[in-house]
Amino acid sequence: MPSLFINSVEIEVQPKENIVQAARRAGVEIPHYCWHPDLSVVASCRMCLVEAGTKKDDGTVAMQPRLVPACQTPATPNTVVVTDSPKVKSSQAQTLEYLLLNHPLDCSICDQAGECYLQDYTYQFGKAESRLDEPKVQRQDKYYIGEQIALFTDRCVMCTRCVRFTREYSGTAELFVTSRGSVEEIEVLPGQPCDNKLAGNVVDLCPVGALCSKDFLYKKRVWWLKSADSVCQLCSTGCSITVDQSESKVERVRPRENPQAQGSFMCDDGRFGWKFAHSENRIRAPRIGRASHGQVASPQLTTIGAPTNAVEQYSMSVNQSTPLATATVSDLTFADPWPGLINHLQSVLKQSAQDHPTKTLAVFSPFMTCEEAYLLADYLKKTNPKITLAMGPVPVVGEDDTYPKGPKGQSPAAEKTRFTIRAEKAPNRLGVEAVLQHFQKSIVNDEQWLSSMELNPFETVLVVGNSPAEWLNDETVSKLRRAGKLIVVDILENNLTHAADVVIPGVSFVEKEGTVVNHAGLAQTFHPAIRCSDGTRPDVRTYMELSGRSGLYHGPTIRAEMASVIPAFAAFETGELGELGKRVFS
Amino acid sequence: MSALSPEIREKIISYYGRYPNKQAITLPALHMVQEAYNCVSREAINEIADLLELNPTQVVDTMTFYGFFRDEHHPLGKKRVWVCRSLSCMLRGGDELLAEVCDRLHLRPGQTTPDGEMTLELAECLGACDGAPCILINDELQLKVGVEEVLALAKPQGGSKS
Repeated sequence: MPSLFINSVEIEVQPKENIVQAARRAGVEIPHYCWHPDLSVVASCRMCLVEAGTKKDDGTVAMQPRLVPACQTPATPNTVVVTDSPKVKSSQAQTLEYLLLNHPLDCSICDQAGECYLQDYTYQFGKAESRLDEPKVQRQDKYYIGEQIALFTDRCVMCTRCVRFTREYSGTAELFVTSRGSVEEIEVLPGQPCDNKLAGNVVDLCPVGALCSKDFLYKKRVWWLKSADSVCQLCSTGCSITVDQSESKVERVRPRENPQAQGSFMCDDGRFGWKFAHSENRIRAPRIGRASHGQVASPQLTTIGAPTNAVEQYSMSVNQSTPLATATVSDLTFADPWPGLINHLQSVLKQSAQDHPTKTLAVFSPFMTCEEAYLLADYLKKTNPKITLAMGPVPVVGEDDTYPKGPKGQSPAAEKTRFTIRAEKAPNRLGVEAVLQHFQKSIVNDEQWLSSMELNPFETVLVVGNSPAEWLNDETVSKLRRAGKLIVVDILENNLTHAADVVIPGVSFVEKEGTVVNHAGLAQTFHPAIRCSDGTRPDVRTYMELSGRSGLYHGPTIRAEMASVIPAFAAFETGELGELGKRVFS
Repeated sequence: MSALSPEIREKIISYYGRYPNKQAITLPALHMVQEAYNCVSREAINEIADLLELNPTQVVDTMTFYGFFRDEHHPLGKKRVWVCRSLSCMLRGGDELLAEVCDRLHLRPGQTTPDGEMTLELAECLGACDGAPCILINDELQLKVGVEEVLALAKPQGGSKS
């Protein structure tokens, strides 16, 4: 196998690699600003200059007298690279000194501080002091660059990653370089800001603090952030993401590189799509009796102690002997409403399964995780195999949005598509369908169960929603309302929860663990970034307790169990899917 | 109303086969447009981009890289006068010539007289050191010039070329 040498370390040649990539495999980090694996090579920042040469057949090495940019030099057989010679180190220090000539020392108020490549490389490769006596050039900040993007012009090192991204990846080409030399700047045309659906990625691409996200601007120093690997749930692409949080509040979401899922980037719908997790509209306690009934105490209310309206959703239970209207403060005790709710649900579902199993329906949502779907389906079918398990509507908005766009905004040909925002706005249709296919033997779709609701309504209906936006239209809800008992699991208050007899709060993807299967059959596990919102708890725990399983929920155990029960999930065998996920079905 | 005349459009289109791709025609196209209209307007940029299947920002990028091109807010005067400021001309009074002209016309290099007659520019070496100080009037070289000769160019119909 042909090989090359990085600082005397011999490594195998891999096709289409440059020296930066090859060195990385050899454990050597070559500093660079302008190069990015998904963008064209311009070799303009000069940070990656290294010594390179060739090892000849007779064993001698002929080094090139000049330094070469590692990003532009292919890692070919017998290449000899030196990255730690005095010549290279001097070049790196000089390049940094040049880049820092006009760079303001405003790290203390710069959002990038802590994850800035100027800071990191200066620390590793630069000098401590500057020889510049002149005042630094000051430039105007450009808050108009994009709706979500601000440009701090004087921090820019002109790597042009952002410009190349908008030209080569989004194809929208809003950003360009104006002028040249010491006065060149990143700019947009008047009235044409960088507002495409992938625009947020230029902030991640910026190696310094020049392009900042307005949403995150001055919110948090990055060293206070704690991260969790997650998966975006806003469409069926299932982008791998990192959720950054502090004190149980999500601060930002970044793409996590995953060639199997989406590549290096993500869309702005997903980037800002986590906000529903902190919505005022969250359901924060289980509820029995319809919200529209107001405070009127239903018999169940006093027995399980769950308050009815949103104002009172603070898990207060009322002493059973005291009617609510006459309850005094001393009669109100803080109590856990969940055990009562679980008992209530168990008895309702058991009764229903006994009295009219064929008139009992459970509607699953494509927003559920595979584990949730499995635990709920398993419980219901064990209660009575005649209970119908059905698929809820899968939200589809428009058509797949593909990038890079052409100069007139036209979509690219299939083979040139680099990023797709899918029309199917749910993360796990395939996973939930695979569970339903196993337990129900066929997929009962929304048309089928809705038409039965019209002609011959089900008596008891359990609906899982968990959609970040209103999921069912009013017509569907009014049809569901014909059920004698409507049980709803959902995250946000909506038309469905207002019509429900029992409401169980669900949690958003940033608060729970689970697995979703994207459009291509790639299963990825996401992990909780923050604690569950007050009064709520992971859906899986509710389903575990409903089914009387002992112990705490442990994802890998449930996934391993799924692999043994459902052949479609055989890839879940070990319970672990790794950081990048596994393809379960194609 | 098209910003580019049919002749210019045709000329740009006639260049299609000359280069490996259409983007390479950006520079010749910008020259054609500036020569015809004394500036390259936003509309013209959009039309060039359209003809070359580019985004307008790609054309602006190239255009602003070169100080030679003017946008519609800074159009050129009838005559573009480049005063050489390289060493030979400087030694032969080029600096003083330029300072005097700027002073008398109330112009800075790069600016145009209010009547649009003349644009004053700085040139790096014009390659005519034997005739220093020298100037270039549009494309025509003039050697051993004095202040009055340059000032005459700022007057309507002044100079050797209008």
